[in-house]
Amino acid sequence: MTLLLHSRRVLGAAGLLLAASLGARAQVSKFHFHTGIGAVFIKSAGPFLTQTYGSTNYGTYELRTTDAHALPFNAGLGFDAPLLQFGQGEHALGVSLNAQAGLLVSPAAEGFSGRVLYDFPEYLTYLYGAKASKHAKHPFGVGVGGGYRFSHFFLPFRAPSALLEGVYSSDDTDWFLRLTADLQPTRFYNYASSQGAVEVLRIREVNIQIGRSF
Amino acid sequence: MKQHYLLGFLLAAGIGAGCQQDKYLLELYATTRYDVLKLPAPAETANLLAVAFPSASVGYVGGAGGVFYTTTNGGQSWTSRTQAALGDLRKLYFSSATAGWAATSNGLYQTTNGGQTWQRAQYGTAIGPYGYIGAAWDVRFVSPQIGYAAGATGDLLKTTNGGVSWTDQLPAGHQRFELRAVSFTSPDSGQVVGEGAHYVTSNGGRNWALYNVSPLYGYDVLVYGKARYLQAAGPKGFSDNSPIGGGSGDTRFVDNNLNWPIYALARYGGAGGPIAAVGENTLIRYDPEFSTQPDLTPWTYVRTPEGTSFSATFRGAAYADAHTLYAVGDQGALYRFIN
Repeated sequence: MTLLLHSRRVLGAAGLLLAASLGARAQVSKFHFHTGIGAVFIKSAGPFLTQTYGSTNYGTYELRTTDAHALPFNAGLGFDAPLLQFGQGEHALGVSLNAQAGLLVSPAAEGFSGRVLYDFPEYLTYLYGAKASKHAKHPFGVGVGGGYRFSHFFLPFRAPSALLEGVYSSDDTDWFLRLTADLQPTRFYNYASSQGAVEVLRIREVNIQIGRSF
Repeated sequence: MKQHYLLGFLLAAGIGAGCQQDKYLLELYATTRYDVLKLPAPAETANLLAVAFPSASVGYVGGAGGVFYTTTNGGQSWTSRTQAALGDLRKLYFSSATAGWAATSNGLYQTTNGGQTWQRAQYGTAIGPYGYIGAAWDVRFVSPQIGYAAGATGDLLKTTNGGVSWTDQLPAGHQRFELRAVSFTSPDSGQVVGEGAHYVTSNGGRNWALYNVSPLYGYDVLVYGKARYLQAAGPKGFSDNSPIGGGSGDTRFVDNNLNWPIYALARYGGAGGPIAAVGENTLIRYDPEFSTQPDLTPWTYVRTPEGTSFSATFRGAAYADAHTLYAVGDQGALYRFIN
């Protein structure tokens, strides 16, 4: 009986602890740091200066093709904010604003490897569970989002992008694993007088990142 | 609830807008479609120097060693009329589908049957012809009777009787240069270029003003408009100039400042007709819309549809019509550019 009572007290204490713990699963902070690696799919076919004439910067142009996968090592900061909460804060529609920079590495992508790619992926999001809002109590959560990746490679451009993330919240930190991907490749063109617009470069980016709030 | 609808709408609009792709233009290129043609063996690798198209379908090409071919179907097939005795055919001028002239390393020749037979031209005086003309570089007619030709020994030849006889326009003892090309806009007004020399006349050749332009080697000249002439030269390449004496500041080059040697100029029709220049790895045309330096020059370096250079050395060019340019060159190069 004593043992049973003791057991009930232990369980009760554990339940209180669990309840207290669950109560701490809210979004800890709207700000986060993230880092990760991805893949940039590059396909290009365009003129390339192969021989200069005299001291000029001009010469003969030959067709150079590149079909390569570059790895962008990236890191950045973000701000995730719920704008609309429902289901007692377990569901939220909000925004995820991010800024990151990545270094492209690929021995096969001549002319592209070693370049810095600046990304500003911004999403409208739906989050469920952890990190949805400061009222969320689930230790785990998921989120999806859609938006644009505003980028600067050798020129500024934007690409439609999607987000999928899983979240685990500890007492003082939100951890998340985030997958972002361009919904379609960004195409760059030269305008040739006899051909109209001729595609010379195609880029599509996918990233997987781990992040934590601070 | 309204806030829910608003946010849902924004989310849907954002995703929907993402499906519309932006178009990013990187560069503008003046380009042209083209076909690489071939003469039949054994001339497929001959060095071709001259081309003439008196009509859209009838054309002639000439080259080293008397190579001479004709087409009657716009370059689809070629028939040989090669005659080694002609020497190197350097320039061709045809006033009709069958009547024309050839300036060759052996002399100045006339044909009236599309190159099946040739008659060699002679010098002439008031009392009659007195000897065959030697090596020639160019021949042009400004009317059925009046024509000019450039001779390799410095002769600046003129005929006033349709080519029956020719007379040297330069006085005896005049400094002689190797002359390569002539261009006249009227029977009286024209220019001649050659090795370091640029002659201009405005009185039908009675007087010539000599402008020494060394170290330029003028390969071709084309007077166009009222006050301008083009020069194809080496090693400096293409230039579009105001008249000599009109000031040194009015010279325009090709838009990319690339001065490959340029060997030939071509024009179709009269004022306003298309003009092109060809040379080493180069095709140049008047196309201000695609000039990379539109404030400085309307002359553009033209590339293949892929934006690459033409890998050929062109020695001669001629329009078959306003949209079709033929160019010939080293190692059997025979291109048809279509605009």
